[in-house]
Amino acid sequence: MRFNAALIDEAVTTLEKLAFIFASANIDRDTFAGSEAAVVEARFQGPFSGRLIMEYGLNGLTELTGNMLGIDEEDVTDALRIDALKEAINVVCGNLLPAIGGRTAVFNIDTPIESRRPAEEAVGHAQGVARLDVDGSHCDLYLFIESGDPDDDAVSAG
Amino acid sequence: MALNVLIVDDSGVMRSMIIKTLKMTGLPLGEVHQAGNGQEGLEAVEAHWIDLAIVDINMPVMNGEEMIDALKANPETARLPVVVISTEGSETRIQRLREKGVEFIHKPFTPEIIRDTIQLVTGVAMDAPDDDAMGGDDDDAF
Repeated sequence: MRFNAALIDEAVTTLEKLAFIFASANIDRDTFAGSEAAVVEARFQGPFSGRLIMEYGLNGLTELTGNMLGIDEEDVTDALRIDALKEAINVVCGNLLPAIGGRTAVFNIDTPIESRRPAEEAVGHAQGVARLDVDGSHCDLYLFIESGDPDDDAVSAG
Repeated sequence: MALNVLIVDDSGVMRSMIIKTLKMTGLPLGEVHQAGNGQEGLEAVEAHWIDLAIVDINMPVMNGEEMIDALKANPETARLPVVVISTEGSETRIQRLREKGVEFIHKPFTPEIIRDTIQLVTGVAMDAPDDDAMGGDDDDAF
Protein backbone atom coordinates (compact mmCIF):
# COMPACT_ATOMS: atom_id res chain seq x y z
CA MET A 1 0.00 0.00 0.00
CA ARG A 2 2.58 2.43 -1.22
CA PHE A 3 0.32 5.47 -1.47
CA ASN A 4 -1.09 5.44 2.06
CA ALA A 5 0.81 8.57 3.10
CA ALA A 6 -0.25 10.60 0.06
CA LEU A 7 -3.86 9.49 0.43
CA ILE A 8 -3.91 10.38 4.12
CA ASP A 9 -2.34 13.78 3.48
CA GLU A 10 -4.81 14.74 0.75
CA ALA A 11 -7.83 13.47 2.66
CA VAL A 12 -6.89 15.23 5.90
CA THR A 13 -6.19 18.49 4.06
CA THR A 14 -9.39 18.33 2.05
CA LEU A 15 -11.63 17.60 5.05
CA GLU A 16 -10.07 20.46 6.98
CA LYS A 17 -10.20 23.04 4.20
CA LEU A 18 -13.49 22.00 2.66
CA ALA A 19 -15.52 21.32 5.80
CA PHE A 20 -13.46 22.37 8.83
CA ILE A 21 -13.33 18.72 9.88
CA PHE A 22 -10.15 17.77 11.71
CA ALA A 23 -9.15 14.22 10.91
CA SER A 24 -6.38 12.05 12.27
CA ALA A 25 -4.97 8.90 10.74
CA ASN A 26 -5.55 5.67 12.63
CA ILE A 27 -4.28 3.05 10.22
CA ASP A 28 -4.17 0.31 12.85
CA ARG A 29 -7.78 0.43 13.91
CA ASP A 30 -10.33 -2.05 12.70
CA THR A 31 -12.72 -1.15 9.95
CA PHE A 32 -16.17 0.06 10.88
CA ALA A 33 -17.68 -2.89 9.02
CA GLY A 34 -20.70 -3.06 11.30
CA SER A 35 -21.47 0.64 11.36
CA GLU A 36 -23.74 2.60 9.09
CA ALA A 37 -21.88 4.56 6.49
CA ALA A 38 -22.27 6.24 3.14
CA VAL A 39 -19.90 5.14 0.39
CA VAL A 40 -19.04 6.89 -2.88
CA GLU A 41 -16.45 6.28 -5.56
CA ALA A 42 -14.74 8.31 -8.27
CA ARG A 43 -13.27 6.60 -11.33
CA PHE A 44 -10.35 8.22 -13.12
CA GLN A 45 -8.51 7.72 -16.40
CA GLY A 46 -5.10 8.97 -17.43
CA PRO A 47 -1.51 7.72 -17.42
CA PHE A 48 -2.85 5.26 -14.89
CA SER A 49 -6.50 4.49 -14.27
CA GLY A 50 -8.63 3.18 -11.45
CA ARG A 51 -10.98 4.33 -8.74
CA LEU A 52 -11.01 5.95 -5.33
CA ILE A 53 -13.59 4.82 -2.77
CA MET A 54 -14.58 6.93 0.24
CA GLU A 55 -16.63 5.68 3.19
CA TYR A 56 -17.93 8.13 5.78
CA GLY A 57 -19.82 7.24 8.96
CA LEU A 58 -23.41 8.42 8.87
CA ASN A 59 -23.10 9.80 12.39
CA GLY A 60 -20.51 12.28 11.14
CA LEU A 61 -21.79 12.99 7.67
CA THR A 62 -24.40 15.50 8.78
CA GLU A 63 -21.71 17.67 10.35
CA LEU A 64 -19.57 17.41 7.22
CA THR A 65 -22.49 18.47 5.04
CA GLY A 66 -23.61 21.29 7.30
CA ASN A 67 -20.10 22.68 7.47
CA MET A 68 -19.59 22.54 3.71
CA LEU A 69 -22.86 24.31 2.98
CA GLY A 70 -22.98 26.60 5.97
CA ILE A 71 -26.44 25.40 6.97
CA ASP A 72 -27.92 24.11 10.21
CA GLU A 73 -27.68 20.37 10.70
CA GLU A 74 -31.48 20.05 10.93
CA ASP A 75 -31.67 21.34 7.36
CA VAL A 76 -29.35 18.63 6.04
CA THR A 77 -31.16 16.05 3.93
CA ASP A 78 -30.08 12.58 2.83
CA ALA A 79 -29.58 13.87 -0.73
CA LEU A 80 -27.37 16.71 0.49
CA ARG A 81 -25.27 14.27 2.54
CA ILE A 82 -24.53 12.16 -0.51
CA ASP A 83 -23.86 15.20 -2.72
CA ALA A 84 -21.47 16.60 -0.12
CA LEU A 85 -19.60 13.30 0.10
CA LYS A 86 -19.38 13.13 -3.71
CA GLU A 87 -17.87 16.61 -3.77
CA ALA A 88 -15.43 15.69 -1.02
CA ILE A 89 -14.15 12.63 -2.90
CA ASN A 90 -13.94 14.69 -6.08
CA VAL A 91 -11.61 17.15 -4.36
CA VAL A 92 -9.54 14.41 -2.70
CA CYS A 93 -9.15 12.59 -6.01
CA GLY A 94 -8.32 15.76 -7.92
CA ASN A 95 -5.53 16.58 -5.51
CA LEU A 96 -4.27 13.01 -5.04
CA LEU A 97 -3.66 12.14 -8.69
CA PRO A 98 -1.09 14.87 -9.44
CA ALA A 99 0.52 14.20 -6.07
CA ILE A 100 1.31 10.61 -7.07
CA GLY A 101 1.34 10.87 -10.86
CA GLY A 102 3.19 14.13 -11.44
CA ARG A 103 2.05 17.71 -11.90
CA THR A 104 1.93 17.59 -15.67
CA ALA A 105 -0.02 14.33 -16.03
CA VAL A 106 -3.56 14.82 -17.33
CA PHE A 107 -6.39 12.83 -15.74
CA ASN A 108 -10.12 12.77 -16.32
CA ILE A 109 -12.24 12.16 -13.24
CA ASP A 110 -15.75 10.81 -13.73
CA THR A 111 -18.67 12.24 -11.80
CA PRO A 112 -18.61 10.44 -8.42
CA ILE A 113 -21.31 7.84 -7.81
CA GLU A 114 -22.69 5.98 -4.81
CA SER A 115 -20.85 2.75 -4.18
CA ARG A 116 -20.26 -0.01 -1.64
CA ARG A 117 -17.59 -0.65 0.93
CA PRO A 118 -14.93 -2.89 -0.67
CA ALA A 119 -14.71 -6.45 0.58
CA GLU A 120 -11.92 -7.12 3.06
CA GLU A 121 -10.10 -9.37 0.62
CA ALA A 122 -10.18 -6.58 -2.00
CA VAL A 123 -8.73 -4.06 0.44
CA GLY A 124 -5.53 -6.10 0.44
CA HIS A 125 -5.12 -5.22 -3.24
CA ALA A 126 -5.56 -1.48 -2.72
CA GLN A 127 -2.55 0.68 -3.53
CA GLY A 128 -3.55 3.16 -0.89
CA VAL A 129 -5.63 3.00 2.29
CA ALA A 130 -6.48 5.82 4.69
CA ARG A 131 -8.35 5.18 7.91
CA LEU A 132 -9.21 8.49 9.54
CA ASP A 133 -10.93 9.32 12.81
CA VAL A 134 -13.15 12.35 12.36
CA ASP A 135 -14.92 13.92 15.32
CA GLY A 136 -16.36 10.68 16.71
CA SER A 137 -16.98 9.15 13.32
CA HIS A 138 -14.80 7.62 10.64
CA CYS A 139 -13.67 8.27 7.10
CA ASP A 140 -11.94 5.47 5.20
CA LEU A 141 -10.52 5.74 1.68
CA TYR A 142 -9.26 3.06 -0.71
CA LEU A 143 -7.26 3.69 -3.87
CA PHE A 144 -7.38 0.98 -6.54
CA ILE A 145 -5.15 1.37 -9.59
CA GLU A 146 -6.39 -0.96 -12.30
CA SER A 147 -4.11 -0.13 -15.23
CA GLY A 148 -0.86 1.75 -15.69
CA ASP A 149 1.74 2.40 -13.02
CA PRO A 150 2.36 5.74 -11.29
CA ASP A 151 6.02 4.78 -10.90
CA ASP A 152 6.59 4.59 -14.64
CA ASP A 153 9.10 7.23 -15.67
CA ALA A 154 6.76 8.48 -18.36
CA VAL A 155 4.02 9.02 -15.81
CA SER A 156 6.21 10.69 -13.23
CA ALA A 157 7.66 12.96 -15.85
CA GLY A 158 4.21 13.76 -17.11
CA MET B 1 -21.96 48.02 -10.22
CA ALA B 2 -23.64 44.75 -9.25
CA LEU B 3 -22.23 41.69 -10.96
CA ASN B 4 -24.56 39.14 -12.52
CA VAL B 5 -22.78 35.84 -11.99
CA LEU B 6 -23.26 32.48 -13.68
CA ILE B 7 -22.03 29.41 -11.78
CA VAL B 8 -21.58 26.28 -13.87
CA ASP B 9 -20.87 23.10 -11.89
CA ASP B 10 -22.51 19.67 -11.95
CA SER B 11 -22.42 19.56 -8.15
CA GLY B 12 -25.28 21.40 -6.48
CA VAL B 13 -23.30 21.34 -3.24
CA MET B 14 -20.34 23.06 -4.89
CA ARG B 15 -22.60 25.68 -6.49
CA SER B 16 -24.05 26.41 -3.05
CA MET B 17 -20.57 26.62 -1.54
CA ILE B 18 -19.46 29.08 -4.21
CA ILE B 19 -22.56 31.25 -3.70
CA LYS B 20 -22.00 31.22 0.05
CA THR B 21 -18.39 32.22 -0.45
CA LEU B 22 -19.26 34.99 -2.92
CA LYS B 23 -21.58 36.51 -0.33
CA MET B 24 -18.75 36.48 2.20
CA THR B 25 -16.35 38.40 -0.05
CA GLY B 26 -18.20 41.69 -0.17
CA LEU B 27 -18.61 41.30 -3.91
CA PRO B 28 -21.47 43.48 -5.18
CA LEU B 29 -23.67 40.63 -6.35
CA GLY B 30 -26.59 41.08 -8.69
CA GLU B 31 -28.41 38.09 -10.12
CA VAL B 32 -26.85 34.67 -9.56
CA HIS B 33 -27.65 32.05 -12.19
CA GLN B 34 -26.77 28.36 -12.02
CA ALA B 35 -26.16 25.66 -14.60
CA GLY B 36 -25.28 21.97 -14.25
CA ASN B 37 -23.05 21.61 -17.32
CA GLY B 38 -21.46 23.60 -20.13
CA GLN B 39 -24.42 23.30 -22.45
CA GLU B 40 -26.80 24.67 -19.81
CA GLY B 41 -24.21 27.36 -19.14
CA LEU B 42 -24.21 28.53 -22.75
CA GLU B 43 -28.00 28.63 -22.71
CA ALA B 44 -27.91 30.78 -19.56
CA VAL B 45 -25.43 33.18 -21.17
CA GLU B 46 -27.79 33.52 -24.10
CA ALA B 47 -30.84 34.06 -21.90
CA HIS B 48 -29.43 36.45 -19.29
CA TRP B 49 -27.01 39.33 -18.98
CA ILE B 50 -23.94 37.77 -17.37
CA ASP B 51 -20.92 39.76 -16.12
CA LEU B 52 -18.86 36.84 -14.83
CA ALA B 53 -18.90 33.09 -15.43
CA ILE B 54 -17.51 30.71 -12.81
CA VAL B 55 -17.00 27.34 -14.46
CA ASP B 56 -16.00 23.82 -13.39
CA ILE B 57 -14.06 21.60 -15.80
CA ASN B 58 -15.17 18.01 -15.29
CA MET B 59 -18.89 17.94 -16.10
CA PRO B 60 -21.19 15.65 -18.10
CA VAL B 61 -22.78 16.60 -21.43
CA MET B 62 -20.38 19.50 -22.10
CA ASN B 63 -17.30 20.09 -19.98
CA GLY B 64 -16.00 23.47 -18.91
CA GLU B 65 -13.21 23.64 -21.47
CA GLU B 66 -15.67 23.05 -24.30
CA MET B 67 -17.95 25.74 -22.90
CA ILE B 68 -15.06 28.21 -22.71
CA ASP B 69 -14.10 27.42 -26.31
CA ALA B 70 -17.67 28.12 -27.39
CA LEU B 71 -17.75 31.41 -25.49
CA LYS B 72 -14.45 32.53 -27.01
CA ALA B 73 -15.59 31.58 -30.51
CA ASN B 74 -18.66 33.83 -30.29
CA PRO B 75 -17.84 37.56 -30.74
CA GLU B 76 -20.73 38.47 -28.43
CA THR B 77 -19.34 36.44 -25.52
CA ALA B 78 -15.62 36.31 -26.28
CA ARG B 79 -14.81 39.02 -23.71
CA LEU B 80 -16.93 37.57 -20.90
CA PRO B 81 -14.66 37.19 -17.85
CA VAL B 82 -14.35 33.51 -16.90
CA VAL B 83 -12.94 31.98 -13.72
CA VAL B 84 -12.43 28.23 -13.58
CA ILE B 85 -12.86 26.64 -10.15
CA SER B 86 -11.83 23.01 -10.33
CA THR B 87 -9.96 20.16 -8.70
CA GLU B 88 -7.84 20.04 -11.84
CA GLY B 89 -4.24 19.45 -10.82
CA SER B 90 -2.50 19.04 -14.16
CA GLU B 91 -0.23 21.98 -14.90
CA THR B 92 -0.53 21.06 -18.57
CA ARG B 93 -4.28 21.54 -18.59
CA ILE B 94 -4.20 24.60 -16.31
CA GLN B 95 -1.70 26.31 -18.64
CA ARG B 96 -3.92 25.46 -21.61
CA LEU B 97 -6.87 27.10 -19.83
CA ARG B 98 -4.87 30.22 -19.01
CA GLU B 99 -3.88 30.51 -22.66
CA LYS B 100 -7.60 30.76 -23.42
CA GLY B 101 -7.71 33.89 -21.26
CA VAL B 102 -9.34 32.52 -18.11
CA GLU B 103 -8.19 32.55 -14.51
CA PHE B 104 -7.92 29.37 -12.48
CA ILE B 105 -8.78 28.65 -8.84
CA HIS B 106 -8.01 25.29 -7.30
CA LYS B 107 -10.43 23.49 -4.95
CA PRO B 108 -10.48 23.76 -2.00
CA PHE B 109 -10.48 27.55 -2.22
CA THR B 110 -10.48 30.43 0.22
CA PRO B 111 -12.81 33.46 0.17
CA GLU B 112 -9.75 35.65 -0.25
CA ILE B 113 -8.65 33.84 -3.41
CA ILE B 114 -12.17 34.12 -4.85
CA ARG B 115 -12.28 37.84 -4.04
CA ASP B 116 -8.83 38.63 -5.44
CA THR B 117 -9.37 36.63 -8.61
CA ILE B 118 -12.73 38.21 -9.36
CA GLN B 119 -11.28 41.65 -8.79
CA LEU B 120 -8.51 40.76 -11.22
CA VAL B 121 -10.77 39.60 -14.04
CA THR B 122 -13.62 42.10 -13.62
CA GLY B 123 -11.94 45.16 -12.17
CA VAL B 124 -14.95 45.57 -9.91
CA ALA B 125 -14.28 47.12 -6.51
CA MET B 126 -15.58 45.25 -3.52
CA ASP B 127 -17.99 46.50 -0.92
CA ALA B 128 -16.43 46.50 2.53
CA PRO B 129 -16.02 42.80 3.30
CA ASP B 130 -17.40 41.37 6.50
CA ASP B 131 -14.20 40.53 8.38
CA ASP B 132 -15.99 38.07 10.63
CA ALA B 133 -17.53 36.33 7.67
CA MET B 134 -14.21 36.24 5.85
CA GLY B 135 -12.70 34.56 8.87
CA GLY B 136 -9.63 36.76 8.78
CA ASP B 137 -7.38 33.82 8.14
CA ASP B 138 -5.92 32.97 4.77
CA ASP B 139 -5.94 29.31 5.77
CA ASP B 140 -9.74 29.21 5.89
CA ALA B 141 -10.93 27.35 2.82
CA PHE B 142 -13.86 25.65 1.17
